[in-house]
Order: sequence, then structure tokens, then C-alpha cells
Amino acid sequence: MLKNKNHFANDSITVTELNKCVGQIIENNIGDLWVHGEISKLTLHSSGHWYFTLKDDKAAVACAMFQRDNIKVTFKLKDGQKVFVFARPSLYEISGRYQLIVLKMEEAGKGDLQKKFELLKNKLNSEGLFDSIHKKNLPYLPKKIGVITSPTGAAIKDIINVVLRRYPNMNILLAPAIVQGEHAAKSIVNAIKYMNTRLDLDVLIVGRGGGSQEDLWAFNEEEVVREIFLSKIPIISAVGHEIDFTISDFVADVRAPTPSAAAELAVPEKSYVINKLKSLDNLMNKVMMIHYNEKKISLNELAYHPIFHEPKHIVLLLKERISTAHNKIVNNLNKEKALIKEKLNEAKFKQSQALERKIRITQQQVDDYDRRIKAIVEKSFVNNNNRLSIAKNQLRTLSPKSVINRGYSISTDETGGVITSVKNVKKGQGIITILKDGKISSVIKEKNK
Amino acid sequence: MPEKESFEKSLEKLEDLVEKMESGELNLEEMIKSFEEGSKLVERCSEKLNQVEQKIEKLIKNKDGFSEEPFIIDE
Repeated sequence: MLKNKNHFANDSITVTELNKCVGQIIENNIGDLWVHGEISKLTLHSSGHWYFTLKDDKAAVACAMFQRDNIKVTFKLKDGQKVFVFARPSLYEISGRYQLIVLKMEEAGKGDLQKKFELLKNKLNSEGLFDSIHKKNLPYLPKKIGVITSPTGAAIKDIINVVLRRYPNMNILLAPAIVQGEHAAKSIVNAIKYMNTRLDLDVLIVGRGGGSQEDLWAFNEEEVVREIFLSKIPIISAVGHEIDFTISDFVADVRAPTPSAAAELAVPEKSYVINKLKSLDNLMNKVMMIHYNEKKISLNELAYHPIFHEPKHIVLLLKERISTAHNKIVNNLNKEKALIKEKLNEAKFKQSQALERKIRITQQQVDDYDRRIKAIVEKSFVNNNNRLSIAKNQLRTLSPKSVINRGYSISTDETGGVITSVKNVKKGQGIITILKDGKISSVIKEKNK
Repeated sequence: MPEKESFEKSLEKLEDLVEKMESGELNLEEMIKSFEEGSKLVERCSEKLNQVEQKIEKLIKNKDGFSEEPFIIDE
């Protein structure tokens, strides 16, 4: 640094010293700063360094970006591109031209997009669209995978290759979509809508291969994000590379860093599943075999039990069983008996009550009859008494005694039988004749008719 | 076992069954029952693994909506 101005030729300095001085002034007084402009005269040198001119419509400045810095640039640089650069103004001492040493570079317009991105992301986040409660589980083994992407891009190739490598007999249905430019959002939305009308898809992969933030922008459009949210079929987002995040990634059920990774998430490795199934099958067979063998052993132990060799044991066992059975039967019978007895008593009681009632009624009836009969008899007895005395008198007049009193007699044989005909007696037979005051015994001399 | 049951569900059931069989808590009858059911699940899962033919298709828009045609990756 020149501290004092020199005014004489003797004090002159070299060009190198001058440029060094100017360079230091520029570096110390301006420092690192952001500049924006358009790229032109771009040279990607074989050394890895980039050289270009940054210009606007009135001015231009030479720029250099060294390899250690330019490897961090994720977009492809081309002439005419508008960029932001964070640079250190300096002097290129060899030519004496000042230049910018570029340390960082961003695409112009990206700032606007980034702002839009953050705004929409925050809005949808506050609406709860990214909440884990809305995330659907991916099927373990889909029957058919739907893919929404460009039919000509790298993504579909990667997806098909990975899926078929993992699971050779898988079904894939591609819904061709525009994934870049102004029609992309509508095209993706329509594809998601249509896929959801089908019933054969178990999972959807929505995405595309890598590109600039503008290229991927469709996946940050609100209508796309909302359609992904509405999908009934689980969606894996697969946009760009690992480092690219889109709002679709936040709303999707699962975010895959790349389309290939999405394919890996969508299908299991068939050999892995087969092995898992086989090992389960083997384990089951083994467990069954062990269990079976154990049972066999205990069965054998049982077979060698003395019970099966000494008949006495069997007899004892049988006896015991019989006596148990007998006791059981007797108990049961007793119980039954008691029950029947009880029932019988109950019936008896009921019956006796009925019987008593009946007896009472009958007794009443009998008493009643008795009374009536007595009344009738009494009545008729009085009558009959009168008639009796009359009859007695009549009888008295008619009796043989009164007849005898009037001078008649009765003859009987020796046994007392009344003789009413000559036929009843024989000659020589003794007869008795009853008179008013005694009897006469006589012998029949003769019988005349 | 319903026909609609997913592969995942069948596999889960199988895992549970085998775990139970391993636990040693089952008696012979239950073991045999589990074994039979497990064997059926293994069979069903294997069927499901192989039941689909490989098919790569692309949607084509037409008058009536969409139809499918085989999709071939051009390298």
C-alpha cells in the first residue's frame, strides 16, 4: 500500500505494484456482496472453473467461479440465464481488469418462487393437510400400482425397472401426465382424479425426475397438493432428487426421495416375502413336530404304566370306577326318590283336600237324603202302623187258632207238615190232629177218595 | 377365511398363529387346529404371491374416456 503520493519520476512504481494497490483498495472498500444480472460468454473450463460475463442492458463485468464453489450449484448454467451471485469484487492483476469472484449462485426468480412456496406451505400446514392423522398406510403387497408421470421421462423407466426387479409379476398402470410447464398442474390433477375412479389400484406414485425448481413447480401448485390430499388411494410422492422438496411431498402419504425409491416403497421384494412365508411355514412345521413328539413320548410313558401289565391294577381300577359309578347312581336315585316323594306328598295333599271336600259334599247329600228318607219313613210308619193293627185284627180272625176255636181241627204228619190231601198220607201212617184244647195221635186205618 | 382378505392380513394372522403355537400354551387339539389353519394361510399367501401376471400398461384417452394399452419402455 502506498501511504504517500509520489510526484516525481524518481518515485515511480511498477505496474505490478499499482495493480496490487488497486486490487487492495477494491477488496477492502467494497467487500463481498450480492449482484444480479444475466449470464453471457459462459465458459465451463476443463479445469472445472467457470468463466462468464454478468451483464445488464448497460454494463458488464467479468466473473470467475472456481470449482470448489461451483460444485454447490444445483441448476444447469446457460447463457441468457438471470442469476443472483454472491461475489467478491477484485482486480485481475495480470490484465488490470477488475472482476467478480463468485462464491454462491442462485437462479433469479427463485426468490419469488421460494416466497410463494413458503406461503402456500404455511397455509396448507395450518389447515392441517400435512397432519400425520391423514396419512394412509401403504399396502404390503399391492395388486396393481398406478403411476402418474411423463411417459417419456426417466422416472417411469426407473419405476418400472425397480418394481419388476423386486417383484417380476407386478401390474403397473401408467397415467401419462404433463409434469412441467403451465398445463402440468391440471394434467396431474386430472390423472389423480381418474385413477381414484378405478377400483384396481392399491397405491399411486406421483412424480417426475430431477430438474430446476421451476421444472418441479407443478408439484408446488395448490390444486395438485389438494388433489393429492383428497385421493382415497395412498400416494407416494417422488419428485426430483433427494434434495428437492415440494409441497406434494408434505401432503403425500409417503415421500420418496426419488422415483426409484418410490418403487421400492411401493412393492416388497418378492424373494423376501417368499422367504418370510417359508420360514413361517417351516417354523410352524417344526413346532408341530416337537409338540407331536412330546405327546408321543408321554403316550409311550402311559403305555408302559404298570396298569397295562398287572391285571390286579385293572381290576382295582375297574372296581373303583364301578363303585364310583354305583355311588353316583345311588345318589341320583335317592335324589330322584326324594323328589318323587315330595311330589307325591304334594299330590296327596291336594288329593286329600279334594277328597275331603268331596266327602263333605257327599256327607251333606247323604244327610239330606237321610233326612228326607226319615221323613218319608216316619210318615209311612204312621200309616203302616194303622194298617198293621187293622191287618193284625184281620189276621187274628183268619188264623187257624180262631178257626180251631170255632170247632175245626188241623191234621199234620208226625213231622208237623199239614195234611191237605189224602195223597199226602199212607195207610198205617201216624198223624196228629190239633184241636182247640190239645192234640190227638192216631193211625190211619183206611184212605178214601 | 374371507376371499377379500389382504395378503398382509393373512400374513399377520399366520405370524400370530405360529407365535401362539411356539408359546407352548396350546393343547394337542388346539395345536392341530392351529396347524391346519396355518397351513391354509401359507397356501393362500403363496397363491396370492403368484396369482398376478406381469402387466405394464398405459392409459390412452379416447372418445369414451380411457382405455389401456401395453406400455413398452424405449431405451
